[in-house]
Amino acid sequence: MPNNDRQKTVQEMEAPVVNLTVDEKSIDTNPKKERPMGREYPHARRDMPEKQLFEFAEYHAQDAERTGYSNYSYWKSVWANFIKNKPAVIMTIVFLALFIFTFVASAIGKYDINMKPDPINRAYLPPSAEYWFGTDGIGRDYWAQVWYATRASILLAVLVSLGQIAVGVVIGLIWGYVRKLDRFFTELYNLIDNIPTIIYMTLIALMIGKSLLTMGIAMIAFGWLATARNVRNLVFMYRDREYNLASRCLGTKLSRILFRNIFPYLISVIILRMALAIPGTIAYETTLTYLGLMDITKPSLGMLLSSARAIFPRASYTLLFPAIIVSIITITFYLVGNAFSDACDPRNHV
Amino acid sequence: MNTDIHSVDFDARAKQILSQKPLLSAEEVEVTFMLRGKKLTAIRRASLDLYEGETLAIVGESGSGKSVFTKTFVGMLDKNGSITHGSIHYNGEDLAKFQEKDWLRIRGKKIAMVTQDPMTSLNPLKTVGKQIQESVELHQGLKGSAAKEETYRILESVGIHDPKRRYKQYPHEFSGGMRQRVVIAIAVACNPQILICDEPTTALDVTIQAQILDLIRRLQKERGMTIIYITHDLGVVANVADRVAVMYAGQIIEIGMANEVFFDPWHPYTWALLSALPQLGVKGEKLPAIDGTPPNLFNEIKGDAFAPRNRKALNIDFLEEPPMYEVTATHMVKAWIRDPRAPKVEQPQAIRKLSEPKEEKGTDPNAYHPHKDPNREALVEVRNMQVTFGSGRKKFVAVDDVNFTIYKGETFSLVGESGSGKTTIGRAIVRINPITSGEVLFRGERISGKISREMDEKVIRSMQMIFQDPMASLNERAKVDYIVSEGLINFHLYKDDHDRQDKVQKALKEVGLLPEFSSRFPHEFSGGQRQRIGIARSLIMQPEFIVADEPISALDVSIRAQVLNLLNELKRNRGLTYLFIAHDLSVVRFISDRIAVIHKGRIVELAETEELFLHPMHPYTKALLSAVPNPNPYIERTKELLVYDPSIHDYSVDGPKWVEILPDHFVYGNERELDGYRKELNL
Amino acid sequence: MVKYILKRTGQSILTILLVVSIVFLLMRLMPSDYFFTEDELIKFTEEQKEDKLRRLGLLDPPLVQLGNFYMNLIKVEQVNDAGKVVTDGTGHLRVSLNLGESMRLEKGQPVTKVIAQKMGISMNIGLISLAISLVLGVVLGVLQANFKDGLIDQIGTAYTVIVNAVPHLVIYTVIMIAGASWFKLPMRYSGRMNTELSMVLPIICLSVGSTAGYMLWTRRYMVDELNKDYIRLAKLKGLSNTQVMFRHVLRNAFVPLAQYLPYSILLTVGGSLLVETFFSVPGMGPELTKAISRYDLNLVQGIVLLYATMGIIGVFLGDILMTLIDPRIKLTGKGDVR
Repeated sequence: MPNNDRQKTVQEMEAPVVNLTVDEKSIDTNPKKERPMGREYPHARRDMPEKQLFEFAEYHAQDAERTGYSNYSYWKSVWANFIKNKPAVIMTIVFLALFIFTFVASAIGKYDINMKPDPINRAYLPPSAEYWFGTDGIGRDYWAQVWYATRASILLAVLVSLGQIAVGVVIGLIWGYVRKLDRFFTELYNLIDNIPTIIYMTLIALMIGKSLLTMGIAMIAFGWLATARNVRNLVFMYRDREYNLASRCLGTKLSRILFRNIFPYLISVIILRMALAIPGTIAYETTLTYLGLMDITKPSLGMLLSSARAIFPRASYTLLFPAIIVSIITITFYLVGNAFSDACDPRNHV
Repeated sequence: MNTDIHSVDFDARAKQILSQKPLLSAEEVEVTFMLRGKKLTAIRRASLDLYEGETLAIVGESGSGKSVFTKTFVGMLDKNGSITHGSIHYNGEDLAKFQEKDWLRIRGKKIAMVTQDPMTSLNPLKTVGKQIQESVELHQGLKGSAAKEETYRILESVGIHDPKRRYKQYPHEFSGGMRQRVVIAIAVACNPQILICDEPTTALDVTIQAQILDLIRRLQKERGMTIIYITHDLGVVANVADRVAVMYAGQIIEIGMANEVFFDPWHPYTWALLSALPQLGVKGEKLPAIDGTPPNLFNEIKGDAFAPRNRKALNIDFLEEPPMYEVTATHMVKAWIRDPRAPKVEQPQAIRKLSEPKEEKGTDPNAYHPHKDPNREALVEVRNMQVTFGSGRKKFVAVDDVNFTIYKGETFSLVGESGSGKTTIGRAIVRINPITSGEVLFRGERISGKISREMDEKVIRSMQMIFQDPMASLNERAKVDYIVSEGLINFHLYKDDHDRQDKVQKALKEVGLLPEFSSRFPHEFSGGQRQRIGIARSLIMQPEFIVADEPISALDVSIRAQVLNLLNELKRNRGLTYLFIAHDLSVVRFISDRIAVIHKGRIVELAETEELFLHPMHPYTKALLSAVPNPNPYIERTKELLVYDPSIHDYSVDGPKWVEILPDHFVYGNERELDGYRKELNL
Repeated sequence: MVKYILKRTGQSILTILLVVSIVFLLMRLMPSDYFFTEDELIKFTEEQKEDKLRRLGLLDPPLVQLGNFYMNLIKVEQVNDAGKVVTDGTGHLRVSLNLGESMRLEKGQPVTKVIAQKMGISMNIGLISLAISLVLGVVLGVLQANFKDGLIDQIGTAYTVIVNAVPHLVIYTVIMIAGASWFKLPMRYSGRMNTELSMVLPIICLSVGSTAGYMLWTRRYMVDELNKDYIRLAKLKGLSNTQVMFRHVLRNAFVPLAQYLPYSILLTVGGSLLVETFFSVPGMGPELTKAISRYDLNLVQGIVLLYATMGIIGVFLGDILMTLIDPRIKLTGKGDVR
């Protein structure tokens, strides 16, 4: 190479010259070793004689390189921030206790969910030692009904929400990343979004059926929209960031870019969406049941609430118990969702 | 152009300053931020006196605290920050003790500030005129039509013509440079005594930057304002400053008249900063770079903060903080090296080059140029490339009819302003952007458009790209190990996991990083380190050709030299070929063999580096060259700024051509223009 | 601008046609029994049934039916002063929309007439509630943002959380009971007597939720704006916090809110399913559900047409409104995700 003759001058230069090929000996190959955050220079001591103080010190390339180390981890900070939000933490514990209790309650209750109705003798008995939550209109134990319904509603809500989020995320990722499909999904979105969902639900209920499975699938089929749009907008934001361009330069496959480069940035949004979808689904189930669009043979919170409404002035406890439970579930997820989204915002990592 | 604003007599200024009492005096100011439960001391007892009528430049790298320091003068610290020690005396009051309501008397009225990013600093929904008028009404006591008249006058005075029409326009109808003029107008409309300019030209192109600097200087003269100018760019400092303060790790480590700091600096950090300037570098040699990264201000700093990066540090530098030593009455240095007990050292050679009048280097007849080699090998050829975005009425031609050839072993640079299409060309070559027409050849084979799978893999493995923004170019949620080996994983270029890790460590070592870094996440690294991780990611593919898209423009001055040296070293050791994309001609001159100047998607001139600097032909090239900041205050202030006006080209009758006007020197123009260029060259 | 509006209008009409066509064809998949009233089903002989189906054109292939539907959509008749249809050329022209007749729910009534009547009631309640919740929501949201993290903000946030958390059914029940027992307000809507008074409770119920919504968004947009760079410059000018709030933040925060305003106003015609069922308001809300459950196919079609049209026009007007208040937005022909 013609530059060889110039190499000499490099060596001769007296100004500080960087040596970018790191000295092998100065590298500590054991990364696990504990490193002090503050720097220590054993070669310079306070009891040094004055003459020595004003002598040149040894130079350590490593020290210069290592100065900018901070012990920050994104998810650790998210967790620390979340834990700081006391109401959310307390409600999470309450909710978990509630969910576990739904199993315990069925076991300790005096009556079974399949108890024989007796509308003549036992209708609307107020809470008592025998019937802890009273009885319903056809004389069944309300305690068993309420806890069974709670468990069923939570499970339904979680499953439906998971379905909505999963479909939403997958569609959102493709919608956002594949430019050619943007127009198609946009039109599809607008088409579905232009008509209130309840219309679709009504049509489906009456044309296909009102069974739990059908309505659950219908809820997923029309519930992914908001998540998909949200994910799509985020993907738009990250899609042309330089690190994704770099991946394309390196020949990384689309699926890998979506999964390794973009998906990790969406986790916070997905969890937030999930947290908000669960109470949303419970509320929606209540509405659907009330409108008679959902056929439920076993009790759900929605069913209990809508049947309690008619009898409310006479037997207020029938509304009270499910209402309290629904409120606890909803408030929990709202608080958790918001606390989590706040915790995920790097600006709040203070 | 008004020559009065260029004249500078630093000795007279120094006398003037010494005879005054300071206008504003900050003493031992300490600013701390609470971050993630930890205390960050951003300003470590810094003191500063400001004198009436002067322009004081505060220069430093990101994180040095230059911006935070001046924010305390207007009470605009972020919520989690506070002044924990010291005082700021102004007008007989202590600003450090001010509450929010007290600030309403000072902020804007007495001390105004021009912020960095003109694109986001203006309210997008209010007309430009209204936003300035708000200032006028608030501080000059004018109302209604009188305020409007005054607004017109101010618009005119900041160089916005046709103020009546411009008054009614919204910020998005203004270009970046024009918006910055509006921001300045808002500050000036307050009629402040002190104007703080916080990197007002960092986001702007060089030619626009030069105009804004002229404007600031003129306004200062007209209005007798005192200016604090914050920047990281020593060229800008040379342009505006009477006095210069150098900040490092939250302290002012050297302060003096501009000529003193540039020609007779005494802090090792100032030395390092100045010597690392590519303008002073000798082609083919290493730049004297500064090792490592600035200290983490979360940690307690003992002694001189610069000591660990200083190759000539004294033992005492690690133990005790140095006091301020007086070099002259106006020049102070916070370095033990000025202590009478310290060994005598001389300033580095590179510094002396600054004060010596720079002789034109001209073309070194012996320099090796790959494109002149009889056995030259065309590596990348771009033929009639056109790239358009959008369609229909919104169609926008980003790159138009571009032709060039890059030969194996050379560094070919594309220089242009933002929006000129230079990045688009780079991305089109590595096939991130599709091209609309024309073709790209690699070793004579077409690689644009549809190509076979084998060819695709071959191209990916031999062409890589380095990106501009080290903060955005690494996946924050992946470990360095994955980031660097991504290419290996894609093509299974390793035997087993152990082999892969080995390759990663080798790549890291090659770019001067510690192998242990591979298990960490990107956010733990500084900009320069991240940029080197990005380079390692490209290198692991063993490429022949690298598109480097402004690889150093987002880096701090002290880090730039590291990366430039690395690129040059890799070129030598691996025989790499670069397409180097930049907006800064001084960097380009140091690193490239040939330069192509691009304007509005078209290459207007292409020549060997020194030839281009010696005989620029196209008026745009001339304008670009005239705007390049020079780190010598005397030269920088007397330079003549050329402004390029594209309307001088009349291509209606006589169409332009791409012509080789001298051997290996191409220019774009029509016959009449070419005749003019030939006359200039005495051909 | 004109070109843009024309283009968007064309696109909107196309979308509406698409929605209506899909619904129309879905309806034709239903068994033909549903085109008779319940009485007719019992009384009619097969021949009579066939005769009626032929008369209504229901024996044609579905696509031909769709074509006929659109052909007859706009009805031009001559009517005399009394409104009777005449053929002798003495009357004046009357153009009306022909969506067929309701088969079962409102036997023999033209669908347009049924909708017009119900729409009025729904809009009455909807618009009043919208006005209330918009004013309340925006004012409270501004207060929340201005005193961010203060007491007002916390109370406001608690309100929005509770309203969103507690099932609406429960909230409505509580409001109904409270209103009825403490203020002696009618628990049911009445079209004949005390109409105004009987509207109070439905209006309150409707407003409770939407007020929370407007509060939430106003606060969020305000806070978003407060974090922007130009706020810093406004402060550097020497403006006080209150001045910054009123001169800069408020208007900018209102822009995204305004986009949904036309949509919200137009959708009041649809009424609220839950509230109207709850208070037995004879509005549009429950009409679709009822029509579907009774298989009143023409009515279903008509209502879907109404919803789709209102929704699409609402979005369209929202976009135009945005361009009027936000100078940055250039009109482009491309529809985008909101």
